[in-house]
Amino acid sequence: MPEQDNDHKHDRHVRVEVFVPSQVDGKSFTWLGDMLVSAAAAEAAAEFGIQGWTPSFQNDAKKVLDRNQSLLAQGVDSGDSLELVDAGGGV
Amino acid sequence: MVPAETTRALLDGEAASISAWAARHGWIVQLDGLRLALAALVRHPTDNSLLVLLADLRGYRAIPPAWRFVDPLTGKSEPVAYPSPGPVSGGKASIFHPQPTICAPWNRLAYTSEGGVHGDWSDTSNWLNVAGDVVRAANVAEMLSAIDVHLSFSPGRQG
Repeated sequence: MPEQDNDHKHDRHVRVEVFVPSQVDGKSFTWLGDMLVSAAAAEAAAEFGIQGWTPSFQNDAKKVLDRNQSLLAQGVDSGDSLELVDAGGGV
Repeated sequence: MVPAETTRALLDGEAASISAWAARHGWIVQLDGLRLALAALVRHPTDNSLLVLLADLRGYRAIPPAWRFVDPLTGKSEPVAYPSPGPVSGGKASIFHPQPTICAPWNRLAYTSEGGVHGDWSDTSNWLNVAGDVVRAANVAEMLSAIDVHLSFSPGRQG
């Protein structure tokens, strides 16, 4: 049934490996798929001790994920590797 | 000026993360600890043309590196050597300034004292504390990452 499918989708977790530029080794994170990219990136930044960024993720295709969308909406899937990046601008 | 040995020791500590970042992102990066310089090669994502990025790391981290793109044939830092600016995620401005320069607090050449456009960032020694919504980088690998992110939004080359 469609409602069950939606419920299942909202409960879906994604397990990803997150890297940061300044460290060699990544860390594993498990998030709900409907978590916003901004929230997941902020959690990862805190875990790595990074402050002052507008954190987002860059995927293997070099796409910088939209912070205002969910991980699933941005195509994140379990097993993905993501790079934590600063989505701040230039001037 | 920071003693060369101090900068060299800092860069020794960063070398592994720089290499790991380059391997993850398909860049060729060569760190020259003796000359305190870095050279990097990457292809532009839209036309696959070769970009050559150089950094003068003397004085790092008391002052930021001097980053510049150079033409692979002439070695000159001229507009055609630089990626053109494209709006980055969230509609923010690119770090690729048409001067041309990389306009970020972690590029020494962006400051007025070094010929850049930013008189508002006071002194280069304050580079880690520049206020505002600017892309942050506190080490060389983070600087390469920031350049890579903005390159992914660049529609082509300048000039």
